[in-house]
Amino acid sequence: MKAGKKIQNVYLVGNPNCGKSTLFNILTGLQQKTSNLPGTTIEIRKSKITNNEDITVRLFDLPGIYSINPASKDEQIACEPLLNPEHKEYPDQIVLIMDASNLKRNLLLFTQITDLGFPVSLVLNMSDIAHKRGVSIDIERLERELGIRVIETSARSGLNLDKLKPLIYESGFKSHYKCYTPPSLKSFFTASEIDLDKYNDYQALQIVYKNADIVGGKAHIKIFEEQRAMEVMVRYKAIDILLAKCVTQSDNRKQISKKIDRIATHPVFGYAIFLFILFIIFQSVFRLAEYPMNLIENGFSLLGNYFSDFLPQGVFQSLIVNGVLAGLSGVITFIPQIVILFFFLAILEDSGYMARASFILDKIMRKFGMNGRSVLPLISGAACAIPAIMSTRTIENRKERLITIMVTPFISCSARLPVYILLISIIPIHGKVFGIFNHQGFLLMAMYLLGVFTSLIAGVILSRFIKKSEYTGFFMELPSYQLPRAKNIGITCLSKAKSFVWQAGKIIFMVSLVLWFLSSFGPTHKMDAVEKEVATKIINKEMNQQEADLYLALERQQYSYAGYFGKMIEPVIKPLGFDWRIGISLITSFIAREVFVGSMATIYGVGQTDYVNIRKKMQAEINPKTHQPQFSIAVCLSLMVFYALAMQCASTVAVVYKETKSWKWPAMQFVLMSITAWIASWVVYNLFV
Amino acid sequence: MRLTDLKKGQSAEIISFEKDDLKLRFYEMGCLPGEKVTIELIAPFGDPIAINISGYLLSLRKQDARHIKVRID
Repeated sequence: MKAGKKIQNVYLVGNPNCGKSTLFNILTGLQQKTSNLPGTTIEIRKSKITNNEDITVRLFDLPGIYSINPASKDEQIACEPLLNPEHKEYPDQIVLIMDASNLKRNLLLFTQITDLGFPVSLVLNMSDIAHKRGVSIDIERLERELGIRVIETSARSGLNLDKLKPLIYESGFKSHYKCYTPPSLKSFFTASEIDLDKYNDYQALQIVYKNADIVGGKAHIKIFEEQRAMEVMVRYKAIDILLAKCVTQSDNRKQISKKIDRIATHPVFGYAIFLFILFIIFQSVFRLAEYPMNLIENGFSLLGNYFSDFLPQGVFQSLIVNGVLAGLSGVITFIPQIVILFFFLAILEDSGYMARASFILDKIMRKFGMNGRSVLPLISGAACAIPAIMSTRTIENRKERLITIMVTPFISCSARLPVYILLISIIPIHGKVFGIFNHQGFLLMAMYLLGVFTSLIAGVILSRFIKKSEYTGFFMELPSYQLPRAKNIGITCLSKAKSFVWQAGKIIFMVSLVLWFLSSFGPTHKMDAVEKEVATKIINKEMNQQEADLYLALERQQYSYAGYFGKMIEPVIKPLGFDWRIGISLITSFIAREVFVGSMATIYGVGQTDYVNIRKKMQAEINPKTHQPQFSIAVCLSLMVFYALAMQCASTVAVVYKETKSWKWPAMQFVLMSITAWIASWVVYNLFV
Repeated sequence: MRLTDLKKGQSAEIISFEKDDLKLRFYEMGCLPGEKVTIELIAPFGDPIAINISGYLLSLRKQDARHIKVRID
């Protein structure tokens, strides 16, 4: 490579679970950008790194693949940069990362990559595990056989990590190793539809495969499939010969891994351990996140007060305080929970346990239209649906992934908790349920169970309606257990949080601004009239400033666009026992469900989110028609059920759009969840009224 | 016999695959005719299973694994 002349594209390529991402983290630290490959949810990480001699490399972390034969549409796109020489980020060099303890399967990808004509270097990672398993590799011999640079590394023990960077800056060699001769392609392209002359044999073959439909339709697809299987077989035969020359192995899985597996997949202990881990995660997400979340909330309210005092009263002040700051706090308050959650998930993933949890839960989840890998998103949903939906990316099967995304928001997230707590506290019931349970604890538990059951039932129903995607089997590697690496976990957590703030945060922020506009402005001049009226009342001493502010806030809400929407939807929500004022809360809850509490505070003129006062006012409210308390048992229960099941979260809608790349799914989810919520609330209301 | 007929801990040699559209995936994952395979783990409720193939653990659903024909030597 000539220094400073051209930026080289270097790709890290390898099988899943070979420690490739850890090496990428080591090479780049936090200097990395995550972006989706166009049209997919496949993430590719990039980073620009420069050495002392001004060589700059654009380093890419391609998602883990077992071969360049795509198993799904998404994987096809993941391989695109390798298969399309016209790609604008076509690799100049490839660094293949391999699990040294499992060379055979890892070498398959190597033989394909080198046939594509790339200069290649080889990194045999996880060599410590290989040594422990009695695998010994003759590196020099391997270098000679392949004609390329080979180094042995271990991210865990730190072996040869200093040699990694030089390997990336140095251009690799083209390997002379050949084990497969592609069949003649002349019979497929008679006309010059595609000019194959500029490609090498194997590149040309891949282009023919990709254009199977142009070349000859269904019949050829079958032939091609057969041909690809043959190719893999030929390659493995050659790999066996290669390995016999360079590797001696006693081929034993570590005894300790076997012992842990016996417990982790045990019919009783397996589930017990899983539940225990769940318990720990939940406790941490809720308990530990509480402190930083309070700090953030207090920080924002201080900032809000500061701006209220500092800026002149008016639209601009309101925009800053109720729009911008409220929007920012909506994004930032989520961060502690997300970081803590991803911290645990990264440990589970890094240690190899997550694959075991998926293994023991796959059969159960299949009954609900999902698979073993859906468990993790569903658990995460109890904290917040946004990271939960982001974590469905590990689910290969499109149908099962879609169902998981669709049902996750039914799980009661932490934003619903304040709503439940407020409503449960004003329910006029006394005494115990079934004679033993405190009714408040019982109701709260019932709300969570309602969410879990609804999500599972929804899974069963959706699995009948969502079109079956091409079944590609459920193949899952169970990696060896290993101690998680602190630095890797840290980098994973922080880069996830960063991508949440930038990607979901942008949308949450914008939605907050729109909602601020809707609740601050109205279609008529009523607002002005009200303001004038209040101003005269203050002058005439009919109201003091505090009363006037509350009155104004209430009237503003009534005459705002949000208020009009509230009245507009009143006929729809009336059968559930809600009036237009609850309607306003339902709409403003779209920022985040906990906004319900604040909006009740405004409606009932409390002025601040003060549970005791809101509760008293709400309990005292009399329905003008029935002369009964407005918040009867029926209304409270119906409202809680509505909050549990309705899709009232703009951020979730946005994330579902981002993850499915189509408005169809979030729209369907919104409609289906709203209908479910409406029906369930209606039933509950009519049972208790 | 089929791979799913084996008991936990039993080993066998892979002979062939019945289902054409999964053959390529099986091959890629190292499940080739002639390879030795051992049933390492069986999940509670009997499904999925985990096999030791060319030195690593691979989890397969029964519905997929039943297409693998094996021979005990």
